[in-house]
Amino acid sequence: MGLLDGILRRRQPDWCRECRLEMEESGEQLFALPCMSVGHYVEHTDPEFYQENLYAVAQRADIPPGMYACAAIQYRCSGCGKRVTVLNPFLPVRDQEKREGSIVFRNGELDDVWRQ
Amino acid sequence: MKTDHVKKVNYVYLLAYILVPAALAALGLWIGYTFYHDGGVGAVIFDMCVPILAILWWVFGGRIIYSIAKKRMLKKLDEAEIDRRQIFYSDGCVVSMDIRQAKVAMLFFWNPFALYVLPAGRVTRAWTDDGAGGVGILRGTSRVSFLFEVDGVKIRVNTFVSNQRWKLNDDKVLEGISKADLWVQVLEQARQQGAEV
Ligand SMILES: [Zn+2]
Repeated sequence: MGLLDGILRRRQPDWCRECRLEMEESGEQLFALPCMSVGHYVEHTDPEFYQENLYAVAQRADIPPGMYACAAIQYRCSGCGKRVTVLNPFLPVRDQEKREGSIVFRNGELDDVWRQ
Repeated sequence: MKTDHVKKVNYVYLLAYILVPAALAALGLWIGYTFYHDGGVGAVIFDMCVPILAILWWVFGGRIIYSIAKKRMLKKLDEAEIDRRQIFYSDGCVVSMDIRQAKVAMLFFWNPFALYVLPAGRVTRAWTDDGAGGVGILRGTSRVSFLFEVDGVKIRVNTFVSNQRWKLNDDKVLEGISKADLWVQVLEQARQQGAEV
């Protein structure tokens, strides 16, 4: 693993900068984001917003038309145990999706959401 | 507010819209020709200003009247205490739905003086048209809409319109389909609620 590889990987959410290790995926969950509807998406980067507005759902079919969803993936570093949550908000449209930009929380801000 | 049979086009308005400015323009030209044959201010007014005003009217008049009607619609719905948070503005009409009271409100571009507020039970069906056409890599759409029937009258509301064809998985098209599907669901929900009342 060269220096360049390390620099490139710094930008990847599943890369522990401290341990220089690739993190393992430790969980994934689909959430509904009822406060966001088609044509009115606004990106939020504050964890409080997601703590209040994410509702875990079992399957994609549970999200009604026009409502935003959020696919969350949690990564865990096998070296230091640190957890990172990546949120991928998207608008489900039948069997397709309109994707919005990912949001990464590196400091356990959303750990509560996983205990829903 | 009207509750009778829905009319998307007021033909008196449509004809007046086209014919009145045309008649005024013709009258202007005639007056200019007859009374100001030798030119001067009168000739400028009647030969040029009146026809130009007529053309401006054809281009902008409808949109101005429609936008005034839209503001009036909101005011009237508020006065009648009809919930209008669920509202969709399109080029040809405005649809608003009060799910709790099961009432659907409609305003049409070509019938701007009539605001229809009807029990949602009169909506007989609702569906999405993604406008998909073409085969292979050319497959796409330039219009997505939701449609519904009230009193047997078919109403089309565009959620995406373009002068070119876009792929069906394009973000703009997906948004259009999502809006249409959302409205189909809203209309169905209100229709069922209206049928129970
Ligand atoms: Zn680590």
